Amino acid sequence: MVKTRVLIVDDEEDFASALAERMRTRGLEADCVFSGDDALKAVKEKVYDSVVLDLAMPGMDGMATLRAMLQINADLQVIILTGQATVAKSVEAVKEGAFEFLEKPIKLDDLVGKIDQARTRTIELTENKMNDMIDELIKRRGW
Amino acid sequence: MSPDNKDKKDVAGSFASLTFVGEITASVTHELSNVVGTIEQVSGLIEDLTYTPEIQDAGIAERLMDVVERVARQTERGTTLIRRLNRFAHLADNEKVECDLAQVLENVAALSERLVNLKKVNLVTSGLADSLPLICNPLMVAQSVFGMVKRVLSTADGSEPLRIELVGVSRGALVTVSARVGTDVADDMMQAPENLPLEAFGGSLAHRTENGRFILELTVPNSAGE
Repeated sequence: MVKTRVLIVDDEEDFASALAERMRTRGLEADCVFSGDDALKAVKEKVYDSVVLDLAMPGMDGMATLRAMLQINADLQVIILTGQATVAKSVEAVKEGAFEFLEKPIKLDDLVGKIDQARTRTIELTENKMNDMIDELIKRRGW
Repeated sequence: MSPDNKDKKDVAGSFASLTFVGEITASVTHELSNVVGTIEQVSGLIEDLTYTPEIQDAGIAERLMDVVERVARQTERGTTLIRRLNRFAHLADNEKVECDLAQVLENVAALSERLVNLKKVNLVTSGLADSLPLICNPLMVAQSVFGMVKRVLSTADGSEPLRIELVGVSRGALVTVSARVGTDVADDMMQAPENLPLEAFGGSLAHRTENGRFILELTVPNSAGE
């Protein structure tokens, strides 16, 4: 079975590294980067099932990173994980296209559960696109 | 500048100072969430490592798990406190705002609990589980209720819990703080505390003694439409 690919984006390096290592022990393929700019490079180079993204980061913040990542890949499932949770920010993030908005600290099992849901969503989106392409092909060819 | 205008300017200035304190405190609580979040993940990593053959073979897995569990208990405690402090800091965001008074007082009660327990008095609440939306100055109401808790606590004998009760009344809410009075409490202690910011939200405070309990009652008007 193909491993779930997760990108962790957080300027708290100890947090991101520990989280990635724990995810790997649970069989996920987890990478981590510590800035918005590096996150954009990562999603250009590799396909991820989900991204775990912090909001408050120096330079490009989480919301700007979210918007830029979704421009690169509109189907990307982004889970916001922040110590700065407010209702207004969660509403804004979901409006901008975030899959989920979670507050730190979080139990790893809860986060992995959300990542599984995000992966299911990615698979559904991919299947829908494939079906649309097949329908389009059938129409065009008159089959 | 007329004395009236000067007073208004002073009040606005002092609230701006409180907003500043609230803003900084809220910002620090966010940082603290990151600290606790990191401790939790690093502790979780130690837990994961206890399942590796090296640790299992060394016979220290149980001791490590005991350490991990202690860290987990403290991170959970820290998380709860940080969330409460954050909510408290955000009370200073607005001078007048629609808020859930039950939620505001539930937080004040929780943050006061340690102070009350240090006097060997238990704290119980009622009416705080159901939402009570109200337009008021939540910070000043919270400060007033905390002042009431301190005054009632200073008279309490600890044989019965100190109670904080909230009920909705026509055009507002009534907050009652009460406790059984000790035998050696001076009469002048059983008065409404002074210097509470009642004017800031149009509140009024009454006091009485009934069946051996000292009772303070705060009326909080709903400022909707003002």
